[in-house]
Amino acid sequence: MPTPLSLANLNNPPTAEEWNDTLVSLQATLGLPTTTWQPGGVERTIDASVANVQQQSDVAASIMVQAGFLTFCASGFVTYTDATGAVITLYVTPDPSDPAQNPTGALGWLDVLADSVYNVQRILNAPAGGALAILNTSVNTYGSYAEGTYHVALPTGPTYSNTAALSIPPSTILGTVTGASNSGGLVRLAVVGTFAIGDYVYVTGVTGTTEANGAWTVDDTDGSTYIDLAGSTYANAYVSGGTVYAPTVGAFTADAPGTASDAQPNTVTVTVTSLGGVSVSNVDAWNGADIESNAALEARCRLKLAALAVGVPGGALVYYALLAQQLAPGLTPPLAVSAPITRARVDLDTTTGTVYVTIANGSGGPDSQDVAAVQAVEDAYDGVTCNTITVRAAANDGMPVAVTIFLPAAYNTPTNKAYFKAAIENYGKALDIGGVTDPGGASPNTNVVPYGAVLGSVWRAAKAASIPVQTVEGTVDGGTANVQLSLAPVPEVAVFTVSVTMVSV
Amino acid sequence: MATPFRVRITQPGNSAPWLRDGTGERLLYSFGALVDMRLEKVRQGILDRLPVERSPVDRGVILWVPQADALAEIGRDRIIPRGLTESDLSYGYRLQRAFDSWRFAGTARGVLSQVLGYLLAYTPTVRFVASSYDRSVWPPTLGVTTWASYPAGRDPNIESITARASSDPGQWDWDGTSPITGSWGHWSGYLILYATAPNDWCHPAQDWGTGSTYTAGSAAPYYSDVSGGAYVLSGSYAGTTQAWGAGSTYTASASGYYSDVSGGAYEQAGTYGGTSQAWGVDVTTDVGQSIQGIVKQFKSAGTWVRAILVSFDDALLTPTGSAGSENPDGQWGQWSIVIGAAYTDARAAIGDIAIGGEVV
Repeated sequence: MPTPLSLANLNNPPTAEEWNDTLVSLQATLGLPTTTWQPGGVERTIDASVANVQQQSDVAASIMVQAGFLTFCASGFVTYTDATGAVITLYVTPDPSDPAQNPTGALGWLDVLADSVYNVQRILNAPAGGALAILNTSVNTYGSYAEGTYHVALPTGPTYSNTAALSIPPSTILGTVTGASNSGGLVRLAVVGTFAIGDYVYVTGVTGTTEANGAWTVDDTDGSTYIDLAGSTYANAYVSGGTVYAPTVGAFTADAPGTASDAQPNTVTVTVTSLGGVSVSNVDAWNGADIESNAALEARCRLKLAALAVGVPGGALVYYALLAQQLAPGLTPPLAVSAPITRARVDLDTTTGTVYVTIANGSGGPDSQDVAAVQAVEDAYDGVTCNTITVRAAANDGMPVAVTIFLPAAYNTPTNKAYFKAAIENYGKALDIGGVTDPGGASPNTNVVPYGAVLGSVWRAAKAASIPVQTVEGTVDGGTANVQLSLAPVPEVAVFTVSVTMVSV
Repeated sequence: MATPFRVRITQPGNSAPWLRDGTGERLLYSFGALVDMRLEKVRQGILDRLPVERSPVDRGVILWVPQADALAEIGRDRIIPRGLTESDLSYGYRLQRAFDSWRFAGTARGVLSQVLGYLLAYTPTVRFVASSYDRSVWPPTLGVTTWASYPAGRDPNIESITARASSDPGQWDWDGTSPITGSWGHWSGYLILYATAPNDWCHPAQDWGTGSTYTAGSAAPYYSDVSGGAYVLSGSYAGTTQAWGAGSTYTASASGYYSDVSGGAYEQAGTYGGTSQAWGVDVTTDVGQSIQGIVKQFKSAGTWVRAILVSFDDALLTPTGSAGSENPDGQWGQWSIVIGAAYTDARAAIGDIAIGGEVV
């Protein structure tokens, strides 16, 4: 009966030297004259080659063994020294959300384990996109443009293209603006024409109330004399001018998936495919999604256990909140969650019995529409409970994070600067609502944004990308200590504004 | 059992004739042995994912139970902690049933079952009790009390069901006459763990000074003498008592103070490591914290477990007891009550129990 091996034995392969020693020892036991074999001789060379092969296959075996356990599968790795002396680290599942670890974003063992054991699938990245209003003031009809051939962009760079064949006829004038006023915070335009709630309109040439210019949907109208612009914010008095057009509306999607292509309303205004008399603008916010990290997927697998329950444990509420973007479209009526919910916590109000599910996405507390959609998902998917379950958005606690990184001049590049900035931002986006406990940290050390860990995110990123950072300094919320987050009346979530300074040494 | 590779590789058809005899055979055999080692590692690695491997023909025959570290890892994956003194096999069985167990999360049965699992190999009686109040009158009156219980000796290898009992009017009134906000809510519950022989997984904490013996000195019957203008101990103590905080280590903060001021309130400045003995019982605080953690995970999100009680007497805290003698009488919300212008222990009446923290 073979000796049972510990997990440490199974997970850590012996070195090639150790395999060689084992092999030679075994050969001696078998009566082979191993002591007479010369360095560089045939026998020793063959043994060394076999030992190297053995080590390589054993590394693969160790990875496969680790792949059977959730934690190891998500964050485990094998480090070994190859025949050339190079130290190699292989991750059990290279994290597809970390380009330094997994440049292609390929899925791996963790996805197999999550799918087969927990019936949980990784949330994949998704491109931002939505309706684009296209204003054509020329007399020409452009196109048709086949799918993916008409291009627009944010001024900051991300590009988008049409998802279906697109023709751009001249836009019809719906009316001339004669005034503007405040309608419950929205811009109300006085304009004579024919309108209906939900219509797309494109407004140009308004002076004074310039915030009215752009693409909108009609929030309210009497059908003929005024329109309220959905999502607008009235700020300035009307001076003169303004024309309301009926734009061509097409569906567009980002060329690169992920949140890097997210766009606020009326910000996608660059016509990459340049046409005379054509302007563009996105009516709504366009939100993409980043691929789920190994750590998040691992956590969701465990939460799935609670979701199996006939009762309503807190873990089930968190699980369904995190999956709300995927589940909401399947409700009746279908709902949408604009950005994935990445964090949730459950609190019981002992004075009323109300269970609060506080949620946040990568940007902080979501808007009221997303909160309503998550509420609907919880209502639909959780078991029967005699408590009231209320979903609410986390309260944003904005805090500047200013970090200075000292490193060799050769590594002081814009690319590395952006890389470190993203690392800090990603740390903030993953920080729990209500903060974390900083074991052993200076007071306050509960419900905090841990100062050391924020700077540590730079060190981890540097190690992952083999960037020889020498020193990291900085402030979080203007200080060099843990930052306390409040739990009442609504738990807070940290929202970082990151600035990075690189200093060559 | 399949023929080992090291043997098969030296058989006709698998290798050249000159490698099946003499030096060649021995060399090939040694190479094959290395392959067998790796195959054995892979075999064990695959088996370690499985909490228990039983014979498909006779499920009473155990073929493989992973090593303790692998069981611990499976336990992390399935969020089922190991019992205090539980055997590998028992833990393996419970891990095998983990998905079934999680179905009962959010119920009293789920909480009781998992707490019992943590107390293994002890199988004491455990109960979950909750009462309702009629809030249409003032002050609210006690309504129905409902109990869910596992009797002592529950077989840990099966997901047995709890015994249910209820009474109207109830006999469990924690603090109905000394309430705090939320006391009368239907969302309160109480977990009761018994620690009586042979399932005495813990015991009452030692009395003060237990373990130490005093020998009177020359000043007897006085305990002190006067020496050099000061009182000094006259007698002497032998033996050792339980020291305050033994097992726990305090690490001072950088400021050197024991407390800091944060948000207008004093907060502990340093940190404690290790675990010391818990109040009222002779086990360390991490045991209580583990039980709280299990309750937190398996209770309904809407349940306020107001106290975890340990009873050292089977006759106390029972469905057949009555308020004020075996069960709380409505005044347990506060540590003390005023009787005859004097503070009196509110919970002293029924004696032999320890009361632990809440789980929200």
